[in-house]
Amino acid sequence: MKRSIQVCSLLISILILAGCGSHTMMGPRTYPHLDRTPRYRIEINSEKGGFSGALIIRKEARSGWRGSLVNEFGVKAFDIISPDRYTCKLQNVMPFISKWYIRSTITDDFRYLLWDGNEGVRRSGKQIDKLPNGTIVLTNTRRHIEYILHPLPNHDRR
Amino acid sequence: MKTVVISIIIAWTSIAYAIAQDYREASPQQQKQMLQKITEASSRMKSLACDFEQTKELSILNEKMSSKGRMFYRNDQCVRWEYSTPYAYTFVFNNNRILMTQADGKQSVTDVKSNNLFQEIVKIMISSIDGSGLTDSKSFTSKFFIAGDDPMVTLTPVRKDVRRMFATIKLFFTAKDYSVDSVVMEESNGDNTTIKLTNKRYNETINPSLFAIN
Repeated sequence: MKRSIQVCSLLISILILAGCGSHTMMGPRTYPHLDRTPRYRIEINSEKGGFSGALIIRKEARSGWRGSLVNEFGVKAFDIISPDRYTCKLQNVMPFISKWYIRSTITDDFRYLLWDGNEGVRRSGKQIDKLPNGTIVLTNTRRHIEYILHPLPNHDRR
Repeated sequence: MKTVVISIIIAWTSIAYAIAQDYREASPQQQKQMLQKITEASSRMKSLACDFEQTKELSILNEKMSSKGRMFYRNDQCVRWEYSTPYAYTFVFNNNRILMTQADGKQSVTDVKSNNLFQEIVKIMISSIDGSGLTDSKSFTSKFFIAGDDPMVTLTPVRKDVRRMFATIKLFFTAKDYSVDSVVMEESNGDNTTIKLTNKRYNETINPSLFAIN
C-alpha cells in the first residue's frame, strides 16, 4: 500500500514536471505564421461574395487575441476576441453580415488561424500557407472561402 | 486638503465647460444663415480635387490607423476616392455604379442599388463633400452648431440599419468658404473615423477618365 502510494506520487510528480517543462520549452503559444506586426491588408473571397479591408490584430499576454476588421473607409466589419484556443467570438458585427452562419464560419476560421493552424498542414477542412513575401493564406476548403492577409507597414504605433 | 480638492474640481469643471463651449448649438436664425451659405457654396462648386487623411480610432485596441490619398468630385455626383497609403485602393462612383480597384489591380464593379452598404457610404461621402445631406431629410436629421464663425453640422441617419453603423456624422465647415474641412463619423460601437480634407482646389477641369467605369 505504502509502495503504491509512493509510485503514484512519483508518477504525478513526473507528470507535473513534464507539464511545467513543456510550457517552459514551448513558451507562449504564438504561431510563426502570424507575425508580431499586427496589421494586414485582408481579402476575403468566397463564391457568394467578398470583402476587402484591413485587419489589425494583437496578442496580449493576459487577454489573448484582440482585433478589428475594417473596410477601406474605416467601416468596421467586426471586432474579434479570442482569449484562448477554445474561445473566439465576434463583436460589433456589421449588420449586413450579422447572420448566424456567417458569424459561425468566420469565428471558426479565425480561431484556427490564431491558435490551431500550422503552415502547410490541412486539418478540419482548413489550410494555412505563408508565401515568401509574408502573405498568409487561410483556405476553408469545405466552405470555399479564402482569407488572404498581406502584411502592412505600421506607421501608427503608439 | 478639502479646499484643494474642491478647487481642483472647480477648475476641472471650468476647463470642461470651456472646451464644451467651443461649439454651441446655433440659433434658428444662425441655422438659416449657415444653411443658406453652405448651399450657395455648394452650388458654386462644379468640381473639387483635394488630398485627404483618414484616421480610424479602434476602441477595442486603443489604436489608430491612418490612410492617405486623393479625392476628386464632380457635381454630377461623380466621386473618386483614391487611397495611396498604407495601401493602394480606389473607389469610383459614377451613375449609380461603383468601381473598386485593389492594390494588385483586381477590379470589381457593383451596382449601388443592389448593395445597401455602399448606397449609404456613397450618400455619406457625397453629403460630406457637397453638404447635400443637410437638406436630405429622408436620409438624415441635422443639427447645427457654431464655434466663432465656423459651422458644424451633425447628421443622424434616419434609417435604423444605417444608424447601427453610424451613430452620427459630423461635418466641420470653415467660414472662409463654407466648404467641408473635416468629417467625423462616429460609429455606434465607439469607434470614430476622421477624414481631413486639405489642399482643396475648386472648379479645376478633372480628367473624365478618373471617373470612368467600363
